[in-house]
Amino acid sequence: MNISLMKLSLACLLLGLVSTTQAANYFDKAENCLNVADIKAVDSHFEQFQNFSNTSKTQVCRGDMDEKWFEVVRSTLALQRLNVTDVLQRDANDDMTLRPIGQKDWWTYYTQRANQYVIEPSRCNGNPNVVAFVYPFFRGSINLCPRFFEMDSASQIEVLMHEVRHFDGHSHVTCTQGNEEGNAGACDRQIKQGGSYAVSVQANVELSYVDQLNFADRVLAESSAIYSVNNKFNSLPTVKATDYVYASNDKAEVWRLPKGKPSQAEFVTALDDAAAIYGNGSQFTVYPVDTTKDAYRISKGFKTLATAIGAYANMYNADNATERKAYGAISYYGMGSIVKDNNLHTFCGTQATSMTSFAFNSGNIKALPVLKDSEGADKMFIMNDAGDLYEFNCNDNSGRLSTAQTRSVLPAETATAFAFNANDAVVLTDAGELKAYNLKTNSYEGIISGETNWISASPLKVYNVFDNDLK
Amino acid sequence: MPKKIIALIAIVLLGTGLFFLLNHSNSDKLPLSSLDHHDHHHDEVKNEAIVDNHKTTPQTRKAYPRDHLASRLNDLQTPIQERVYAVRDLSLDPQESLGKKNLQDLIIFINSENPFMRDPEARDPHNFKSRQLQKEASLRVYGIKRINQDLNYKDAQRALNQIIQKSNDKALIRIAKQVLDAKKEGQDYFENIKKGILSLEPVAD
Repeated sequence: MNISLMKLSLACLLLGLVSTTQAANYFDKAENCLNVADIKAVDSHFEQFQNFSNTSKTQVCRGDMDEKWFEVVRSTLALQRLNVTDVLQRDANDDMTLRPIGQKDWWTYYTQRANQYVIEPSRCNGNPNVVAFVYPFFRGSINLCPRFFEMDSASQIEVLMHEVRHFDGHSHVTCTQGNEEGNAGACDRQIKQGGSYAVSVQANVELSYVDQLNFADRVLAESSAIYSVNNKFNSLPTVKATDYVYASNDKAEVWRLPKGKPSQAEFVTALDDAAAIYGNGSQFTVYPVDTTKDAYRISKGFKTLATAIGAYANMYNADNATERKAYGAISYYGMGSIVKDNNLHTFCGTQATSMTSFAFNSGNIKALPVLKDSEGADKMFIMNDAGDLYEFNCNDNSGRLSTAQTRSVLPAETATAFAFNANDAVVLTDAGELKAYNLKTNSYEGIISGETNWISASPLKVYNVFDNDLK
Repeated sequence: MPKKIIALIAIVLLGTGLFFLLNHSNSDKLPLSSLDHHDHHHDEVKNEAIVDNHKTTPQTRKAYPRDHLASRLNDLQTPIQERVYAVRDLSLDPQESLGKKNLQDLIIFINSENPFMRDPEARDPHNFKSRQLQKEASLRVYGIKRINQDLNYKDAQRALNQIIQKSNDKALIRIAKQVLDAKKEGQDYFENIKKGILSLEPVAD
């Protein structure tokens, strides 16, 4: 009995110790303590922080250090966490996750430009309302004035990112339009030049996704970005969304064809090997035809390889070259699935952390067409070799998968199909042709590409920003 | 025997309690009252995220008395975060009389002059006043977003045209025009521009 009580006592003591080192929310201005281990992780770069990390304590709290230095360290640690805390990046291994943020590394950006802080230099005394400033010729040093410390966490981060961009030679120009016309040094020329206001806008949009910030601060970050877009550039940035068909061929080329304008096809890239490409909204997962080669994931510009390739590609890569020949259709849209030996592998259920397998017994799975439901959302179907379409449903509560035949059909020659809306679909045929298909009349409406060597086709909406001359 | 066990438990609990007290006093921790407040703040943040994730329905949105809304949104003494929540929680259902009044007051607020617009210090981008100008403008942008989210094209057109015609903020007029153009095409300007910005050649890569 005594031993049990001792164990209980020890557990209580350990609990007490653990409670003193709990993770801090550095985005929270009310945070009272900073973990020393977190400060140590950055103090080789910001050497001034060693004044606070050289301690035997596990945490340093507001009373332990100057209040302004506490704010500087806290906001720097928050900035460091910008990469890893946003809701969109949390599911790095989730095949369905859209990742528009594109793995930007703000911490590297920041630390390549900043390495020390000057708190309240004498120039701050000239105007009590100045927030922060840098001298471009003193690279690395950021001057912070009293107003900086009053700002909310998101604004502090945006200010730090904005200021260090000036070290790259980006300076502001006189506003030639808008509310501040004639105001010297208050605008940038174009957002695409990537100056300090472009950084502010990008940072604010990203901050609007950070779930450690409260709702109001996220709203203000988003709204601030949109206001700046319309106020801080002498060329007005506007955006145009365009639907594309991305298609790969047997020459290992990737092309993209704007919806409805196949004559404006653009060459995108040449892959190392001929491969099927599958979009997931912002990236492509690439499965080489040669099964000795592994699948991989790459940014939509086909420039940056992703470190997390998703569960389907991981499953595929875990098999040997012979086993990989048993794989069939793959879809990353709608419910999403990968087919192996006529079994569908997917995620189903609210607690699903591993894939569920479902044996399809209504013929051979030929394709996984992605069409639109009544609300315009992507819906994945199963098509058998006769062209019959089956709904594929997951009961999230039970985690049970089921199929139900629909009255719709697609041509039996369909290898891949997807729709942009309730009417218009694109069909890749077994013969390697790309055709436009009308889902209402169930008939082809034309040839999208005269080539007959296409291996795969995938939809992708691309958002392009244009600078518009306001004069 | 049971008495011995009770005594042992009491000693362990006292010891554990003593450990906590010593632990807090030795590590310069905050007093318990402050810690309670701190934890409560975390709960608030969590709750806000939940509200954000669960779309507020028109039924849960408040209808403010007409006399109070515009002045409340304009009250610089009220923290900007609170004013964001006031805008978020507004019922803007044009089929209901209070929703209609809220909408009209929201438009009046959006069209009201930004209190920092004429402040010379707010023209210096490094000045705190320019940050305040930006915050006040951002609250108005969020008001436009609410109009875009809650109203059909016809009602949104009527509301946004009042901003386009009466606002003295050129950036807000540009935003209202683009919101309307996108809505006409069945698109959402806010989503499009955010995705456009995220697809820009990133400085941070």
